[in-house]
Amino acid sequence: MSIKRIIFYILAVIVCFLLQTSVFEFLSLADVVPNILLILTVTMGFIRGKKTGIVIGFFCGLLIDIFSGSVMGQYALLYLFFGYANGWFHARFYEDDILLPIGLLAGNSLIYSFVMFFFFFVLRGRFHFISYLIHIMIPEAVYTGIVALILYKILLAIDLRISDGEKRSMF
Amino acid sequence: MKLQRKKINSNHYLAIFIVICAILIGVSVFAGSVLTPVKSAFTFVLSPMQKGINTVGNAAFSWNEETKTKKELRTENKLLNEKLNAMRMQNRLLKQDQVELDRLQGLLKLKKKYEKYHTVGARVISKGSSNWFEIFSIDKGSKDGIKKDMNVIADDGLVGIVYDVTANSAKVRTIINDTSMVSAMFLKTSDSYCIVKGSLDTIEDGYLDVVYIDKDAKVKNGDEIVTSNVSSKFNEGITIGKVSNIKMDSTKLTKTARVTPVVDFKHLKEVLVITDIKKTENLDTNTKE
Repeated sequence: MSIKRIIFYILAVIVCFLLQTSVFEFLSLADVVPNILLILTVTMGFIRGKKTGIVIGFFCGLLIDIFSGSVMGQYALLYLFFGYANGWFHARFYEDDILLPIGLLAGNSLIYSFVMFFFFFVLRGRFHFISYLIHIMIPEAVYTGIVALILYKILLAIDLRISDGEKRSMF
Repeated sequence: MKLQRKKINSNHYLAIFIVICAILIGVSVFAGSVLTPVKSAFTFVLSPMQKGINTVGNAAFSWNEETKTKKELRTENKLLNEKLNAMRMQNRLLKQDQVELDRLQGLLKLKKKYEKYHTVGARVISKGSSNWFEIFSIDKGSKDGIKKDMNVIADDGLVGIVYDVTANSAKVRTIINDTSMVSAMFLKTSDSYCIVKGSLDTIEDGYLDVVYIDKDAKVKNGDEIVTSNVSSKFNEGITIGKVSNIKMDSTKLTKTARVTPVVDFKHLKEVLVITDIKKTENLDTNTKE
C-alpha cells in the first residue's frame, strides 16, 4: 500500500467526519442529514474489498465514538461490520456500474437505521416504529442514496487515479 | 518460510478488529476515565478544524441574514425602543417589589430561594453524527472549568446537561434526546412535580410529553414549567416551556400534558453553561434519574 493511499484514506475519513458533524445547515434536507461516514465505509468496502472496508469502518466508527458516544467501541464495531459485509460485493464491482453501488448504499442506510432503532429504542421500550420510519429512516435512506451518487463518483475517481499510479510504479 | 509467506486474509482482520473493539468497550465500561486523555488528544486535533469549517460554512450559508434593508432595521429599531421603555417601567416596578421581598424575607429570616447562577458562554462546535440523538459538543472543556453534570441553557430556557468532558470540549445531551428525563414542576404551584420526557418522535411536532402530574394538581394550559427542586442534577427554577393539552391518564391516577420548549433546538449556536453544580445527597444509590 502506497503512502498516497494511506493519506487518501486518512483525509477521506476526517473530511467526511467534519462535514457530517458541522453545525451549519450544509447538507440537511427535510431535517435529516445523510450518513456520510456510512457512505464512505460502504463505498471503500465495495471498491477495495473486505480488509479496507473493515479498517475504514473501524476508524469512522471510532471517531463517532470519541465525539458523541459514551461507550467507546460500539459504533466502531457496528461500522466495521458494515465495511466487512459490503466487501462481499467486491466480486461484483465494475467501474462503470452505478446502479448496484447506489442501491447498496441506500439499502445499507436502511439496515443501519433498523439496527439503531432496535438497539437504542426497542430495547428501551419505545415502539413508535411507523413514526421513526417516516420521519427518519426513509428520508435518511433516500437522501443518503442521492448524496452517495456524488460521493461515490468522487471516491471512485480518486481511487482509480491512485491505483494507476501504483501500477505504473511497479514496473 | 512457509509460515511467513502465509497471507493474512480478511477474516483475520475481522477477528483482530472485533477484539480491539471488545477491549475498548470493556475499558470504557469498567474504567472510563482511562480513555479521557485519548479523547482529549483527538478533540485537540479536530476541534480547530470543526471551528474553522463552521466559520466558513456559516459565512457562506447565512449571507441572506445580513441583507436586511435599512427600512426594516429602522422599523425594528423603533419597535425595540418602545419595548425598551415599557420594560424599563416594568423593571422599576419589579425593583420595588424586590426591595419589599428582601425586607419581608429578612423579617422571616428565610434563605433566598432563587440564587443567581454563574454562567460561562460557549459556542457549539459540532453536533451528533446521526439523526437519532440530539447531542452536541461545545468549545469549552475542563480547562475552562466545565465539569460533568453542569446544566446548559440558551434563550433563557433549559437546553440540556453536560455528560462528558475533555480538556478543550464538552458534550451536551439535550432534553429532547430520547434518553433524557427531566424532573420538573409548575412555576405557579411550585409543588406539582412532573417528568419531562425527551422524544424525537414528539419533538417533530414541536412538543415533549410531560408525565406523572398529580391528578389533583391545579394546573391549566399555558402554565410555565421549570426544573424542580427535587431534581438530582438540574438546578432549580430553569424554564423549560409552556404546557398545553393537559389530560387525565387512562389510569385516572396521573395527568399527562405537552410542553413546548422555549429553546429553539434547530438553531443552537451559542449556549450558556451554569457552573454551579447542584449538590444533592444520594439517598438511594440504586435509582438513577
